[in-house]
Amino acid sequence: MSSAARIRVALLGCGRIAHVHAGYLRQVPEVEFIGACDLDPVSREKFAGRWQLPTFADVDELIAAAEPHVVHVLTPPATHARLTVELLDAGLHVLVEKPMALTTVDADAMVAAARRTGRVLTVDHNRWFDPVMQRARALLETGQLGTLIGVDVFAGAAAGEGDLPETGHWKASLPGGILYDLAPHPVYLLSGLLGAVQELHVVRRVDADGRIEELRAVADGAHATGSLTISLATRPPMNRVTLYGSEMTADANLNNMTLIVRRTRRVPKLIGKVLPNLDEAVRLLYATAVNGVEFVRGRQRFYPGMGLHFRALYRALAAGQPPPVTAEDGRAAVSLLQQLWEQAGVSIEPDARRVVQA
Amino acid sequence: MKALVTGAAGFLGQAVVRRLQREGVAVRALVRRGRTYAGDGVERCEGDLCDEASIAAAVRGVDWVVHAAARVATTGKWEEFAEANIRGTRRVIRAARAAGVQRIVHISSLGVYDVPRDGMTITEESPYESEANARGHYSRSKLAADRLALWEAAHGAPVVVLRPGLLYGPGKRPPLARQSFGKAGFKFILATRQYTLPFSYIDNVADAVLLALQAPDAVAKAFTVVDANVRQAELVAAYRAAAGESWRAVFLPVRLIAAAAWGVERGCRLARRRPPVTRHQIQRATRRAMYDCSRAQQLLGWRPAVDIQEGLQRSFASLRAASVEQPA
Repeated sequence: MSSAARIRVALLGCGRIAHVHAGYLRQVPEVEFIGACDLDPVSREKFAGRWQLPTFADVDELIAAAEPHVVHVLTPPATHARLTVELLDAGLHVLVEKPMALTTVDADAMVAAARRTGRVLTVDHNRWFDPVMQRARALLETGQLGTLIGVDVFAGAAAGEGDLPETGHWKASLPGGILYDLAPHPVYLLSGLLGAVQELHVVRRVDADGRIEELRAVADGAHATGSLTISLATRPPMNRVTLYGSEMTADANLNNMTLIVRRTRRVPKLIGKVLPNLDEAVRLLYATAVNGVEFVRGRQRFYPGMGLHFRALYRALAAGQPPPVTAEDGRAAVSLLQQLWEQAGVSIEPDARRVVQA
Repeated sequence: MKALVTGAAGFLGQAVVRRLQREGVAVRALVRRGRTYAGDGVERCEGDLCDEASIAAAVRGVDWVVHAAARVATTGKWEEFAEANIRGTRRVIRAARAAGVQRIVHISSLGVYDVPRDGMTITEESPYESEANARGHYSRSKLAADRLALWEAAHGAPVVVLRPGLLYGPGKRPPLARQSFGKAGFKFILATRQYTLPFSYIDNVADAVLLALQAPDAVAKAFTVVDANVRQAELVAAYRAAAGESWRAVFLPVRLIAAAAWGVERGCRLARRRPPVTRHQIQRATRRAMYDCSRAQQLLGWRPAVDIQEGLQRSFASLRAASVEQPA
């Protein structure tokens, strides 16, 4: 593809995740990755040195000196709405990191700006595109899973060791620290699988200091019922999604990148107790071997769904089609996230700069 | 009329100052603090591209601005180039606009153009260089400044962008090639005989600057300002004659060297080090481009008054005169 026809993409924010975006953007054939922008000169210099690309000091400069078609907004969540609306109004398409916004009020303003300007607004729900999630979704979409009855999403992290406050990262100022950063991933997975959530019930567990260490929720969605667990307390920290269908159950392990499918077998009872275990063992062994080979070939990387998301997104944009994650999908996840925080007793301050745990 | 010239102490800046003065234009020069620059009859104004207040003071009361200053270096941090060349350009344009300056001429470079294939004709409508990651900080920052200047122009600033070629003229030894080195009566040239060099004689560019400051239809446009696309083989002959030198030109095998550069690049990538040279750099420096200056001729009424033979003779004459004045 000639450079003139490629989509010019820039990043807003040169922090940690910007380097991951940069690595994946370089691999998308439809994209000409043109640079990044950050208020912090140290982050800019580091980014410019590593990627050998220009970096800019503010949005105006980025737009004037780099003329991007698409900007990835990678700044702290409280700034997403303002920056996204500004970019959309400047005539650019926007991909915003998760969560799209902190409140539905902000998300609505962003969706409205996208409609008003006719520009594309999409959200980096990258785990939705993880290879195991794609395979699990394919079982659902092809009908092999049957009717979707329920969904369990479990997201764990080994946080709370207190390393964040020293880093000075914006996440450190949020209640529950990494819990707040962790929640959007399982929430958009649940939201995407359940459809519009009509009812949500949340319980929480707090640690000795009164900080939330685990949230559990049950939800009634348009397509199925579901449960969500976000935990900083359980070990090992797992990330899995289980889809319960009328024909089979699919268990996606997002840490180990394995998918186990269980279906009813018409075999004698005794064999029925043995065969599924053997089947699972073989599948795990095979998946482990495949992942091992991929790792050695350098294909198994962090956030594998991000690269696949970008490919799908830019293929769609180049063809003039809607993005695989719409602004409305992002808004639905924000709505569910907001309900989760409200019921967990975490309030978001009106200026949306900080959130405070009740 | 009064004009501010940034980079007035530079090679092009000095020629622009002389040309403006010849037209009776009063000249103010933006000079970095501590620099010894004393142009005859030039109002000296100390300042820096990174200092907004000094630029605001420098543009006050002038009718025209010629922005010829830039950070030119092969090493240094990206932020230094960005601060001077991108943000510096923005500061100059915005301050000039705020002060009601009638016209701003931004000096850019031919390096902003993409030359995807050998032998292409390049006009101002040709696309920008696409492989920015294969370029150095300077080229990257100048390309961004060119875009920024035109963006500001599209949003109301009275900016004209000039993109001159390889600048040469009195006071500086002209380039023999993009890449060349001499040893024992030989000049080794990294180019083919058919390769063309876009030469721009310094006073011809100064003429273009003066025209760009006045031409009615020039605003918000870029202009390529190249005297001629000189074939490398012809240049060698003219150069030898003008210099009065007698060496033999050896044309190096470009393809072989590009392949070697590719190998070096790969090796450096594996070793996670920055390659000293890239295949793109070699290809870019050996890929012929025919720069078309019809727009400058039509809209500015520009014609190169000094041709390559005369330009080379004048350049070498000045060097000989200087060496007589200051024997080694």
